[in-house]
Amino acid sequence: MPLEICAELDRDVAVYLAGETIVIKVTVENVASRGRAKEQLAWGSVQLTCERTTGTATTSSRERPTTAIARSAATVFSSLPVIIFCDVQLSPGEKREFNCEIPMSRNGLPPTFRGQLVRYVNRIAVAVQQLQAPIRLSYLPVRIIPAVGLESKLSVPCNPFLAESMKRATVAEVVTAAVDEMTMPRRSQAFALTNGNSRVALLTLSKKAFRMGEDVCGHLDFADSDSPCVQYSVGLETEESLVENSTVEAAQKSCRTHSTTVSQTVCVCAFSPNSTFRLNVPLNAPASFTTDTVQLKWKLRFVFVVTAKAYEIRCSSGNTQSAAPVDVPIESFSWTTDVAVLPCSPQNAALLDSSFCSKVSLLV
Amino acid sequence: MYIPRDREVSLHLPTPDEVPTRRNVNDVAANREKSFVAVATDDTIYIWLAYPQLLLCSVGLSESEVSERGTLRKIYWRFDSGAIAVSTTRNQILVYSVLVSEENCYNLHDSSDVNFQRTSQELFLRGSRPIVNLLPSVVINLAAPATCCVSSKDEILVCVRNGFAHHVTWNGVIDPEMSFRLSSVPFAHDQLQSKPDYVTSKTAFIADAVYAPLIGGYCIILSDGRAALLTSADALFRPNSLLGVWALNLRDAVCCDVNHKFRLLVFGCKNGDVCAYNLDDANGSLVQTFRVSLRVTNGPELSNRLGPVSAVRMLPNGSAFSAVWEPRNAEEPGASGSESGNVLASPTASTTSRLPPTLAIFTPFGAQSFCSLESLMDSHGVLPSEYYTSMEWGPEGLQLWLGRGDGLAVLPIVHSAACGNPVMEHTNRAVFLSESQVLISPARERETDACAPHAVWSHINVPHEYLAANWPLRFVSTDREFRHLVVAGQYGIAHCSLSNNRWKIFGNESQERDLLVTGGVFIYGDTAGVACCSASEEKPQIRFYPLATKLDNRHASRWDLEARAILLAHRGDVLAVFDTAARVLIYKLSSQNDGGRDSYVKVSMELLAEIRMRDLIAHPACVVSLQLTQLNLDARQAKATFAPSVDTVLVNVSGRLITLNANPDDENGNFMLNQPMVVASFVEQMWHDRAVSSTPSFSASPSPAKTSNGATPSASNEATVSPHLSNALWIACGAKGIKVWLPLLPGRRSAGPQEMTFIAKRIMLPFELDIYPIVICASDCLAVGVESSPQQFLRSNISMYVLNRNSEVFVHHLLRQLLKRNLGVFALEVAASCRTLPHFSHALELLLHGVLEEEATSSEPIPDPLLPRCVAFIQEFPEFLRTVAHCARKTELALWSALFAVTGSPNDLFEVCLRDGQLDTAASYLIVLQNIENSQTSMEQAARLLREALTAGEWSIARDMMRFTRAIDSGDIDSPSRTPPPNAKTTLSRRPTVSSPTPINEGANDYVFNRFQAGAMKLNKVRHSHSISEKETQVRKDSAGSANVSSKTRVSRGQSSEMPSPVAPANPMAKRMEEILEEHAWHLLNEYCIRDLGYFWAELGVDLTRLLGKRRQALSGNTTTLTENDKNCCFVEDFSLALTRLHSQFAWPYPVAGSRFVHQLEKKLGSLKISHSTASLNGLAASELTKVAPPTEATEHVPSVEAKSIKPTPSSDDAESSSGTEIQEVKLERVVNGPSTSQRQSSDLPTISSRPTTPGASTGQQSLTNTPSDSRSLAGDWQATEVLVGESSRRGDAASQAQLDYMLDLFAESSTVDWMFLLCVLRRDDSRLRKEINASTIEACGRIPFTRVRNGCHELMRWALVNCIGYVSLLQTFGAHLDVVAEQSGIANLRLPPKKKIATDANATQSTTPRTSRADVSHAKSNLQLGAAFADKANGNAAKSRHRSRSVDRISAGGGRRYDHVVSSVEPNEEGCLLM
Repeated sequence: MPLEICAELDRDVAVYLAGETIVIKVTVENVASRGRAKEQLAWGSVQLTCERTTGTATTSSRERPTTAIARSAATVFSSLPVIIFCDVQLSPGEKREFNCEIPMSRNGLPPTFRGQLVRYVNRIAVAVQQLQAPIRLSYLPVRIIPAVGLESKLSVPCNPFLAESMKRATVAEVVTAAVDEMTMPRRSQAFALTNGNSRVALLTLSKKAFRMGEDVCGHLDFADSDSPCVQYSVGLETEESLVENSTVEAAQKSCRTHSTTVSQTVCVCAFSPNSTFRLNVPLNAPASFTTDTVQLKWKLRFVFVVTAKAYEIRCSSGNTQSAAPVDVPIESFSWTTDVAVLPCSPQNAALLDSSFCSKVSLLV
Repeated sequence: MYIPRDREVSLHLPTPDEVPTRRNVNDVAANREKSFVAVATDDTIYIWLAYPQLLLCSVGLSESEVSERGTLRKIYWRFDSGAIAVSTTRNQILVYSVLVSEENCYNLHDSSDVNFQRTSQELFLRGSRPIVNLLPSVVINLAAPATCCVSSKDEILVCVRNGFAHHVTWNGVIDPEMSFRLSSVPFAHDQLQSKPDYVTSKTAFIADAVYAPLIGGYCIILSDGRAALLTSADALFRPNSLLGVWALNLRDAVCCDVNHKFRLLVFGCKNGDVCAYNLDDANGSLVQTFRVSLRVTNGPELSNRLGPVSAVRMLPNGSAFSAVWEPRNAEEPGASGSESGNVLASPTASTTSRLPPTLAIFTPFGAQSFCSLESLMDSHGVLPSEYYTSMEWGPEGLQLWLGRGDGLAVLPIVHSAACGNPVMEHTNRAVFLSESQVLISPARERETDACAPHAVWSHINVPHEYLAANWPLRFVSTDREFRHLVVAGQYGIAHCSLSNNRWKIFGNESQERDLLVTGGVFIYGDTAGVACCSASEEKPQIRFYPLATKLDNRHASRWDLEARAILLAHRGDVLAVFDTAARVLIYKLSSQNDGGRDSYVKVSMELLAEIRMRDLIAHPACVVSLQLTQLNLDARQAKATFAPSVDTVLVNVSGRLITLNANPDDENGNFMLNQPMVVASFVEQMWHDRAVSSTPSFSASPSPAKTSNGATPSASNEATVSPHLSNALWIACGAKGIKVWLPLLPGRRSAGPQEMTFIAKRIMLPFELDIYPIVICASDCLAVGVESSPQQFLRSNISMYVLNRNSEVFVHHLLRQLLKRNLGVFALEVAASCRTLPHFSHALELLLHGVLEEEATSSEPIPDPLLPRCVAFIQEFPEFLRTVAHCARKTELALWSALFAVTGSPNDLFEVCLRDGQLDTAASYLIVLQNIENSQTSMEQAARLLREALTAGEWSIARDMMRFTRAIDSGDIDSPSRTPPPNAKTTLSRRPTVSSPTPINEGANDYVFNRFQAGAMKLNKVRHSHSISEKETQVRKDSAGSANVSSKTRVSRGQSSEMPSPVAPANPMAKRMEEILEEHAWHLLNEYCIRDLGYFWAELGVDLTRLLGKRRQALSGNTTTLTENDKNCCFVEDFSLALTRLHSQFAWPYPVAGSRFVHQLEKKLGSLKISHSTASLNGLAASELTKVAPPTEATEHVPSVEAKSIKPTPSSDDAESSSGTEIQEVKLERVVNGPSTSQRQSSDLPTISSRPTTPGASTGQQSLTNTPSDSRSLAGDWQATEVLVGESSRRGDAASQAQLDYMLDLFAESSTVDWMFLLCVLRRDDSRLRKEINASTIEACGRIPFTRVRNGCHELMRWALVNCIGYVSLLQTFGAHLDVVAEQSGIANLRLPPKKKIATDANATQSTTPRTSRADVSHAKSNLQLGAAFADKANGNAAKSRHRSRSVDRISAGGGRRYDHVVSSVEPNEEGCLLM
């Protein structure tokens, strides 16, 4: 096994925005000790593929754009394979480097997603073949975040001489700017939450679009409520739902949607006139997206536990001596609202995501 | 470090009358376990559950009771939480017994309707919520109101306002024998010799007191502000055995608390300061540890409005204390000290100068970690701002209960995982613990690319299943690589894999309840280690739970201990345990997995050493932290070790860092300890790389590599990190700053060991940081801190505290300290290892700046200044020049002399910068020069720099300089002479000689000028008064006369082109600069650097249109209004050179006539009548090789013609064209079709192609002559030319194209006909040419330039024939157009005088025929003229040959060189030129 093929990405963590270009450095090294014969590789190629797995069966609804190495039926996307070398001979100890780029399309490439109903796995396949030997493959999973805002045109300075010296915005910068714009708090939104006729709380959300990694903050005002709230919980959840006309057979009528709670906070607020909550959108969670199979939405789910009277002061002969109630009858109400989660720059996503390494090696 | 997070939650205090009134909270007090919080308002006592915050019970006094007993003041809990005592404003103390039931209250019952039931597990409360009732038990009557009480196990010490103090049992029995009066207690300054005296004031009483058993008594504050420690030789504190020890120099204390762990007495002072005292071990006196005042960075003035400290509260574990302040009462500035103790909340006190509620949190030694005033954004919009009256820490310091003037509130707090947990003391990421989350900062190396990484945290939510029953979290640990996390709450543990965020908790709840973590948790290999105690059996143990299997006691490896472990330290596979018996036990851990199917990792412990510390410490609780390390870095010196790679135990005992190491001399295997050595005092926290990982290069023993827990990640960077830094011990000392214990390792190059014996092995260096460090990154000399700042989340005024990290560079402190101690060699070594850091140059600046500021501003003489050493040190680095410049720019002018006295004059430095090409730095010096030197020098230097920058293409520097000089007020230019830098010896000596050369601007003018800035007309006037130079004024008149004429003077241009500031053109420096710019523009044009010109234009915003207008004038001979400078411009002299330069600049490919063209041509020609040329074309390929040679030869042999009238340029193209005589002649014949000479060339194409086949000159001629009609059709038919050179051939990239277009627009606008033409040629843009060059153009640009262009076209033709066939037909077309235009303008023959020379080798007879034929087609009229022209040329032919030989000489001398590159640029381009 004297040849080591090592593929390395241009960043520490394999997180990319759709629309970026993946730069891969492939090193081929003959790791044999000196004096042995030269080793030969017939060819090597690199390709990005996306595979979809659904509940049980795997079918592909779209026609396949290109042929790919070891293409499985689940492959829903594959880039053009890049041949990185042909007929390479290496003497012992020799090492050669090849660079290649895989530009990703802005749409059409499903984001990496590990859901319950559908999973999308994006990975880079590094394939090599020796003469008269089977193809050897090794996979490097990459996380792809859906991009937004790439449609808008960038204004280029009219003076072409200045344009040259000016740095072009990268895909990540464009997306970040667009997301900043979209997640800017404009007008805080207030919701009067009522239970039947009585008011429970007044909820204020500063905005409903959030960047990955951002905190979802809200303020609940119980000041004028008629039914005292003992406690409440807020959960930030993702809901994946199969698209109506998708041909995924696995989707029985019963399980067309599935929710996952990403983070949750519970607060006992029996004595608080108001309360704030904060939920972090994890950087390793998927952003909202839609493909032809599945739609991923983000929601805030509230549950309010309400009682008639939480604590009563009893007054006897001027002295008031009261103790907490032992039993409290309660009723619970829930409410759900949609929020949007937009992508952040891949560098930020990489801050806390260590599950995608940037290197894979293969011995032949 | 403890800081708040999120938002203060206010809690409603229910009242009988149901009206939600705001109630003044007088006191908040928690019991010992912090599980219950008692709150006193004026008439009600509330008992709250700390978590969740639920009201358990309340007792209210009726109005009659209140009037009888007074309002409630303070609450004191009995030790066992069985009772509370409440003092009143009258002479009573009310004692209530607290009955805690086993049963829970607040049992929530879901409604029967399924739709309204809870589904989420999180909503079910699981922690204990006992039913609590308060029963009034005793009322203690006193002679006067009680000021304070101290609660202890069986009794309370009640201090009364009349100066007495009584011991009262909880049953209300006063033991009169134990009571004492303040005036009878002797007070001394220490506990040994000093003579005691007595408090004489009859009205004095004890205002506040707290029990400090580990310090030896009660800490008391007297009503007069003095504070003391009340000690007694007697354990019962009998009155006659009491001795008070004064806190030295403390006269304004108002409240106090005690830090048991660090053995500190903390006092709040009347002026708002907070101070602390510790016991001097030598004589038992109380000496001040620190005294700090509140620091408000964002509003220093706020701290002046602070009143006295109203309370200080110490966190039970000693890692923090908080303080709250009253606002200063403006009306009664000196609220008497005696009152301050009990006047807690007089509502009138805070009517004026409202401050927001003021709260601050400090570290044990007084470093401020949080202050609520830091941002004045009021986060408490719901409540009007009221100050805090009291506060209390919640469980584990995760909450801060705050009593306010208007109610009760709870502030959530987060704290660093290192507090009380030495295992986490040295981490490379910040780890914080909140009520329900663990926050971990991302890896620092990934932060560089991310945006706003300082606010990004990994939020690890502890599962509710664990947390609900075991709140609060007490310990958090991770491994070094942050793969796993283990937490411990009240009972049990839970661990989490950080990569997938999966938690494991005990499946068996009874096992969880039985596990009480006492000493911390850690991760060893693949197990979670726990120092615990079985709750049921009271058996202290160390357990290891494998991370991979279920969390269950079945899989645990358990090792019994003799006593409870309190602290753990862990390094590699060595574990140190500190237990309640004050012993440090050092174990070696080893793990094995027998590899079976259901096997799990088992860990075994082997005791290596036991250190008994009882004598060293006052109490086991005083041990703050424990670290294992290896201090002996010299592998050669074998020393005794406790364990492999552990030779020292660092113990922090109440802030004193002690090293314990084994005695090397011991022989019989039993360890002896060396004398413990105190390394530092006031230590809060320490960071030590070596405490967690061993450095392979220094460890004598093989590094422990059994499990994956070792030093692998850090070992990789060890190589790059200086051993000095990676082995250093960093110490945080609170208000006393940071210290580093730096090893002084002999470098490899230093001489033998004997030299080093005089140098200590380690050195302690103090320095200050602005932030409080959480992480010290020794490798890049960066301290990372965390701050909590309010951030507004909603539009309303609701804000929440968020955690942000900040960082600070500190390497300059180290360097400075080393330099100061004459350890420059080590400073160099340290600096060398930091060279690669991005902030290194910044650190050098900081170093220089700091030293300069201190030494230059010192009022005392400095006998041994550091500055020269510092400068010499920086000189060792290439950043020297930049560092000095930047430093100077950031310091005051007055300090410059001090700086430059050491570094050398700025002028010299400037010169060096120029020499080394550091233009950026030079620009920095310019600002210095401008201030320090006389105006002439600085102007000259500025001019030099500008020139250099322009030449180097450093546009941004040039642009900045222009902006800068324009912005200078003309009056300022001479300012330095008015304000000479103080005692600047160097500059003074230089300056006197020069008085500003031309006193251009009178002061008066300046004033006038400054006054009249509005209005364009006025500006104009003002400017005129300014422009003194005669030329200018003259010019101005001129321009005033003809405003719209293109000849604008500089002055008027100043307004028209760049309005920004009227000052701009006025100051001489700016004027000079403008001149240089102009010069440069001419230079670029004359050198044919059009692309550079484009950049120059775009970047510097020079008004090129105007300049080109001047050029036009100059070229058309109208030079009256032009300055000398303007005349430097000249016409394109050498068109072919210009064209080749354009090609190379724009990376523009030469036109190709490739195979496609040949095919096309064949077709084309085939369709025509003639086949001859086709044949020749076919033969072309074979001929290519032979073709290459001619041009070079040609230059030598052939007489060239002086093509231009202006200057005899070495027109090698002429030479070339004439070289192969035949060829040239051939062309001429061909040219026929065109009415102008230039069109002759278009026919060359076939000619040349044919040449190889017919090498003989005559044949060539013939072939050409034979095909006049087709060549004509070729040239005439643009379609064909398109094929030739149009889109079919390669073009430059889009950017070049855009740039060309842009320049073309410019030239068109300014009627710069020569360049317009050239660019059109380059772009092969016929339509553009037709559009831009026409009769009106000639009108605009003048006839002479146009004629020259026509000549140029000819020249190019000749050049193209030899060098680039692709151009031929294009030029032919262009030439034709020029001819037409010339004709239209009636100047077709104007070119005659210059033309003469060109005509040289033209064979008149040959040329005539084709010409006429062409003329038939289109330009009959011009044809005639041309004919005449050619005749002329032919006549002059003989005369010219002489000229040419001369010019050839010139070529070989000078011009030849130029053409080398032309040729070379052509040749490699295979398809490009030599056809093809």
